[in-house]
Amino acid sequence: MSLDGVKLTVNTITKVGDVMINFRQMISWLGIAVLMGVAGGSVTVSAKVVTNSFLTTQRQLKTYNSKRTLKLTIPKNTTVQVTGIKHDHGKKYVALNVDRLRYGVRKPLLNAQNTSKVSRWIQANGKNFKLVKKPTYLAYYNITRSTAGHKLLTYVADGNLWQGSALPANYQQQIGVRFTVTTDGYLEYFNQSPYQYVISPKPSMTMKVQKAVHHGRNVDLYFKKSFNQLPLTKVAKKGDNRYRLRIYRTYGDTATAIPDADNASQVALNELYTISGTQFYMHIENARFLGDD
Amino acid sequence: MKINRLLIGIMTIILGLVGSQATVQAKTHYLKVTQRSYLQTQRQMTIKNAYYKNIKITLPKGTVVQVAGVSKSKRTHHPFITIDMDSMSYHLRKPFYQSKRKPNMTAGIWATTANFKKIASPIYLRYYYVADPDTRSAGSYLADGNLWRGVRWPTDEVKAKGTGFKVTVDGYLESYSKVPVFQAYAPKPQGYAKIRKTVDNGKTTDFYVKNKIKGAPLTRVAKTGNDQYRLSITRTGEHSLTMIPEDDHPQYVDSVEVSERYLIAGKDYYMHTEVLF
Repeated sequence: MSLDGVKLTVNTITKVGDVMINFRQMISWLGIAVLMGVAGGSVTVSAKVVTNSFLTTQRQLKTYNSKRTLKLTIPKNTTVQVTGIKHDHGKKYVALNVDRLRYGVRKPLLNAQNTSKVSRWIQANGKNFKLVKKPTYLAYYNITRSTAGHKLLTYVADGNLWQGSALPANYQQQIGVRFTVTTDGYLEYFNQSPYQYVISPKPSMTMKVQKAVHHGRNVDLYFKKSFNQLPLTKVAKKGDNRYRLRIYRTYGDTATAIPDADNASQVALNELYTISGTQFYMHIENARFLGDD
Repeated sequence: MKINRLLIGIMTIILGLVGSQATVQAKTHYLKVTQRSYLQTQRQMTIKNAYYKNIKITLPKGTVVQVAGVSKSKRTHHPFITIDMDSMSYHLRKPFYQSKRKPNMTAGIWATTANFKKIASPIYLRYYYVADPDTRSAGSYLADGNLWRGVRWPTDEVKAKGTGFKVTVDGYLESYSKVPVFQAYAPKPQGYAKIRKTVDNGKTTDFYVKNKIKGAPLTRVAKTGNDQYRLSITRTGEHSLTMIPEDDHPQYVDSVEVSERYLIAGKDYYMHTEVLF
């Protein structure tokens, strides 16, 4: 059955009358089901994509930031994370988190007057995207976590690993050492990053991840070239996967009282990691408290 | 007109008959209650502890209780409730306290209109009121009304002892001295009195009692009557935190204990309200 064929069927029934709403709905559901089964990729993107889904671009996408103040170009084969979903006239659109893409792609955002880090709405179809699983190079953290039934709890994990064991209580005025892996698979290292930023600035070092392996609590990232900012192990003399960075997730936590433990307005939960004995943490949750308000 | 009056008369008699028959059958009505609902007993009730059902407790008519749990009978689908007697005053829970096993939960009690009436949260419990704790708390809500001397919940929670106050669900002010703050059962107070009057002044709540309570910084405000002594409790709106480390890895935090801070007679008190992560 062709895509046009199904459309035709739906249209014909629409003309019969509004009384047949249920029947129409049934037919359109049937249509979607058939399309999903037959057409594969293209419609699967549209049907299954949700907030935080990962999509890989199937062609170069020229778009804007959400405020439409500057142009963005997302190259072909770039894996992006969805931050928003919209339906318009039966079509599904996605907004992308551009700040989680490598510096070369997100760079225009840094020149913007406003602080938009989200793309314009882009149609979620097979021409633009392919729906992919969470990439292995991001397996070192959980993209989402349910906070249902806990309105005062927010999950804030963003992939940044900061050197140290806990978020400083006065983090807003502080700078720290951090690294992250972008959704399109680049390690970015920042030797002086403010804790609070809207758009990630230019990294002090960046390297493409060639391969990633997730085993137990470890995520191994392989690189072709070495760098001295993080401890690497040389594992091969030639090829693409010569140097290995092992990120170990301890599953231990620390907490930061903000601003202090005697009179706190919130508490941050940090998940601890080690890389060859050096401690890093990811700020994953914020909790506020019940009170007389 | 006459016929009309006659008809009305007959109708009235029929209605009356139907009505009286209904009262004869005395249909049992059940209350719609949820966890944390407040109820008032409509008659004196004798209830037992859960499971063993070997200790009796008497609740006088007019006692305010809070629903600890509510479920439905598998056979009849009628609702019944349980009460956590640790939330009640010592003089009511005494039989549980004095028994060997020290139970705290009651056996199920039918949530009938004959047993209970639903009431709004009592004014004397507003000093720690929070809205929708079970859907909003970032972790678990566990406030029990206990105000302990100090700034925060202790790190050595299992061993720590505390001195402080509690207002019970049935409206008694109890004072405690050097009792465990981590409680398997509510301890014996060193003194208590029935709350005669409560005045809510926003952040500060004034409780009036007739008699002195040992260990409580009461202000004498009258020489006669029911409202002779006053205790003022101020809810500061501030929160303090305690990080409890993991047993095996003390560098990791196991839980974060949240306390709300209060002031009584110029001194710091806290109530353990939430446990997070």
